[in-house]
Amino acid sequence: EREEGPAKMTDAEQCIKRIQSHKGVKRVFVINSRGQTIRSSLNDPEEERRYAGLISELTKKTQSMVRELDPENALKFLRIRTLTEEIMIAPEPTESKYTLIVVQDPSDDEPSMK
Amino acid sequence: MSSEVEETLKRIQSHRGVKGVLVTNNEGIPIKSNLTQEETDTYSSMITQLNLKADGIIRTLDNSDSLTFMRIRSHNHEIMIAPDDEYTLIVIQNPNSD
Repeated sequence: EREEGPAKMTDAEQCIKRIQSHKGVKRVFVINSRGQTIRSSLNDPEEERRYAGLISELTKKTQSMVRELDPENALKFLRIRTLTEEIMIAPEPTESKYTLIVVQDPSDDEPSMK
Repeated sequence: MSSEVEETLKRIQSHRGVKGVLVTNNEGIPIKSNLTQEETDTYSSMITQLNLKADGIIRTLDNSDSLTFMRIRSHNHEIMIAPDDEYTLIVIQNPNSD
């Protein structure tokens, strides 16, 4: 099990920094199970709240759809592509910890998806 | 449905790991599927709802933007959703056959 405290935060910070510096990555968020932003690459709390809240809602809805289809199944990853960006969501399956959200510019991606 | 579409659907269906291929119209009514009636109805109604929700959220974040693709990965399968104006294509595959 993970430890709480400064050690865990440093690892998480390093991870977030690494992802953020990847080419094409626009934003990185870490939210908790209540949709509150724990870490963000933005400095705009209004925007953060909006984004985190909506993405959190969508993640919850997707998770419940997956469980409805099969109660023993669980969402592992969600990838949403729009005209302007690609949003990747790595939820914590137990819903008691954190969800990682990365927003990137899809044109900087290799054409691997379809 | 044109033969080109049929061929594309067949090709997707025969791809290794693909468990189901569905096409719904823009009201979420399934018009093509290789799953059982029950599975078809379940998947098409749930995914149509989710599709609408996702698209709504994207437009709320930016009203000039819209959803073009969604990929739902779970332990047991991966669901890919490609919405369009008139139809939505849904493919369900084994999550490890990337």
